Amino acid sequence: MELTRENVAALIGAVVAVLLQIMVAPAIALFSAIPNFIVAFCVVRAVAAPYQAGSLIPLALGLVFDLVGGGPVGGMAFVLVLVTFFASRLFAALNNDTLFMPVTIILVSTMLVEVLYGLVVVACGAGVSFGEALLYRVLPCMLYDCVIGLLLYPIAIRVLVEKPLGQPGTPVLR
Amino acid sequence: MALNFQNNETSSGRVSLIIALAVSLACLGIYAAEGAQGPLHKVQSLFEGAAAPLQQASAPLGAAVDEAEQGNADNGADEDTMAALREQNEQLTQQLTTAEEQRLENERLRSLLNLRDTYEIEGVAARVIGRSTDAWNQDITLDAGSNQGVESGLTVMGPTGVIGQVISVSGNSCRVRLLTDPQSGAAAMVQSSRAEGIVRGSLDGLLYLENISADVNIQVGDVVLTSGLGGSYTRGLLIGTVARVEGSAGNDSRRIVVAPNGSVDLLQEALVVFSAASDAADRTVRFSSDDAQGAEGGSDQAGAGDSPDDDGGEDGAAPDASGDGKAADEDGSADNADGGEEGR
Repeated sequence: MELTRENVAALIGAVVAVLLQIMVAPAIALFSAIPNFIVAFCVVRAVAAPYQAGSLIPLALGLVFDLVGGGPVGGMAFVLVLVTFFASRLFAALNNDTLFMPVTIILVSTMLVEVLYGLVVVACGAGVSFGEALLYRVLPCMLYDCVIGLLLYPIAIRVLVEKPLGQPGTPVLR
Repeated sequence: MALNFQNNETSSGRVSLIIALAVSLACLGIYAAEGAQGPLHKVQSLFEGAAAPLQQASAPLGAAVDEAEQGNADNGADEDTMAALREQNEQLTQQLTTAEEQRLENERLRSLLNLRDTYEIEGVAARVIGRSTDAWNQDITLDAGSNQGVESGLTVMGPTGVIGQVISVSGNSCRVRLLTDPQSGAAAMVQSSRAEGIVRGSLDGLLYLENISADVNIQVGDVVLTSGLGGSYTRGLLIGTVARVEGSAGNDSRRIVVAPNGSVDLLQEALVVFSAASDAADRTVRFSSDDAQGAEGGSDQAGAGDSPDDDGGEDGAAPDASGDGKAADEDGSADNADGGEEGR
């Protein structure tokens, strides 16, 4: 990995996301919903910098999440790598210089991560049905993560990418 | 809609994707296949131990959020609420003198009749320094670890009852899976009838008493204790009281909801139990009035002994304390009955 401005910003962002997940997320839990800063960061980065995103940071952050959180190790890593890859490719293909497309992809990807991770947890023997997991964990966390992702996107556009993706002369989000 | 089909993806990107997916899948497979003592579980335990100081450092943030929520609720009080509170305040002031006398008496009694003395518990007290960082696990982190003698599998008690079980230990911290976690399962028995079952957590936050024989009559208010079967939880410690029974005796689909005695939300300290009196199941816990309020009424029932067999089960029907876990195994719930250490 080259030491470019984007990569350094991504590394700092990743560390901040992990610290927020460990130190802040438990304190701002709403009922059973705990926000997932790691998911939000990875998805937002995949959309903000689709060609630079890669699979390394989602893999590393997913593993850290699994190791610190007590979930099945590799579960979140697998889901994050998969979803961020498709999110970045989808955005690269469908970007039409409007705000609609990145926001939609962030929301859909975040939801997908939570649903897939719920499936992994249930499959690994959580002792609950997927319907119950969907109702009590996936949906609340999904909504919380979407809010975090939407708040994070404008910051990511400014910090994570030197020049936002778009046609020459296209107004950018400021 | 503009479609950008330029092929910017390099072959190295695809290779890294495949490698990343393979690594994560391999981790997942190994983790699912290995036991609780496997290498990935050990690495996970190390990470949890490393994260404990960070969680401890964020404790003031949690307290500040709680205070902000409370302040917000207070600010939203309307005039009627304020009037009711003023009236209540006057009444409380009148009761203060009497209460002070009772408090002093209570302190003396508490020093004699606290939980540890009742059960002759040997263990180590610890402070709660962290809570779960994700929504899928209901656990807490305590500031006592292997250096203090804590081992995986030990029972953990709050001020008024069992709250969970140690699932991983590092040098100076340990992680406790709460009873309310869906993967948690404690071999339990009803104190009055000695009927045995398993108390399980659920995603909705309630405790369910399962695998109770259909012909056993369970009443609201019956005290539920750990039975010690399987050797996972220390025998005879108070879990809670039966709060609701959906269905009647003889009905296989009967659901029994247990109100836990140990409240976890406001828990600051906990006791890791190394051992308890061998006849703990036959002892009746009598909480003081303060404790009873703290336990949301459940303790009253525990202490009042209003169950049919209020002699604490001295009728000799108690199961063998050194049970080998067969009962839990036979109902197909061995993993969770053993504390779910290998549940994942």
